[in-house]
Amino acid sequence: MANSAYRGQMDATPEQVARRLGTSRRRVVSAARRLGVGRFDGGWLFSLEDEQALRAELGVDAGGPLPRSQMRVLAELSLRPRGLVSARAVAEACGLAPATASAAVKALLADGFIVVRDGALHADVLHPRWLELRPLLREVRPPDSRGIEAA
Amino acid sequence: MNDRLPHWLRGVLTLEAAYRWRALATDGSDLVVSGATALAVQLRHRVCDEIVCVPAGSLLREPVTVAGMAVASTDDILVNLLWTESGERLADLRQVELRTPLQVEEGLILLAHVRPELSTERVISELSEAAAQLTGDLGEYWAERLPEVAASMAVRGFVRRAVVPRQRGPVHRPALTLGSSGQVWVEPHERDGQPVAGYWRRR
Repeated sequence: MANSAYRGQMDATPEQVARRLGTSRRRVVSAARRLGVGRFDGGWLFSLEDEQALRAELGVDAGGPLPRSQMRVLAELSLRPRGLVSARAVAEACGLAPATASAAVKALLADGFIVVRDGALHADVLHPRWLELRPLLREVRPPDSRGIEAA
Repeated sequence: MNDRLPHWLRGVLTLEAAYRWRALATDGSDLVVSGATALAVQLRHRVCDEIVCVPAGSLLREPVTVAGMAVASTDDILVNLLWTESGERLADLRQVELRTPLQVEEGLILLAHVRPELSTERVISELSEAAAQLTGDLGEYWAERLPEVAASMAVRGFVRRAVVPRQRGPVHRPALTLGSSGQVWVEPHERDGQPVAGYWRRR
């Protein structure tokens, strides 16, 4: 009983963290093992610091009408006034695997969410569905721990 | 348009501005309220003492009608704020970032659609010059934020973005609403040491 009260006030369960990060419990636990954060006390528990480490490692996905990788790519491109030069650059910027980023870019190009202009990939912010997506895109955060810093 | 202005609208306009609004609405003006006035109407974050109007033809999004006048969308307001000089420009831009899903980077993309002849670097440089004169919270905000904006101009590489607070978890900010929506605005604040963006909630 005391344990559950403590859990409710102080620490978060993997399900709670997964819900806040927009991901699955499996990914949260896997990342926790990899980073060595959280504690196992009959079940996984995460402090605020643990959750921040997991947030930096996994990023935040808001869900939405498009797959996670596509939302992440669109979120990044919507903050790049000059676009991104290639699918590989998209992968670096979004913290996605190159193959995943490439597939997401192809799908978004086919749906008209991305356009190629001046040799770079740009988000089409005048797409008819843009206003529906925008609030969701702003909740997306790429992982902090990956990628090469822009010059 | 002989009715009095709604109570909330009178709250964000000075007497003179409210009088001018009523006069324009009564005349059936086809101008669109934009700039700082439209932002004060959309966000209700401060009192505005002027009525800024633009022709209807040059807008990106459909305006909404408030008390007999067309009011520009937040997208058009952001674009307007980015390329026009005004004393409250950086304070207003900050409020746009904190209270809506729009950010300056997306505003620069939108600006390229409306004013392709404008140099994005020049806009950022003007904002930086204006920000250098600022002190206090606003100065600190833009001192941290503008390097992020400048870094976003790169066409490859990762950009660390930490200044504009996001809501925690997959709870989404509802779209801005006008009129009496039955919701109240919760200012950006800190919860458990974490920055929480402003959001609308039921009364």
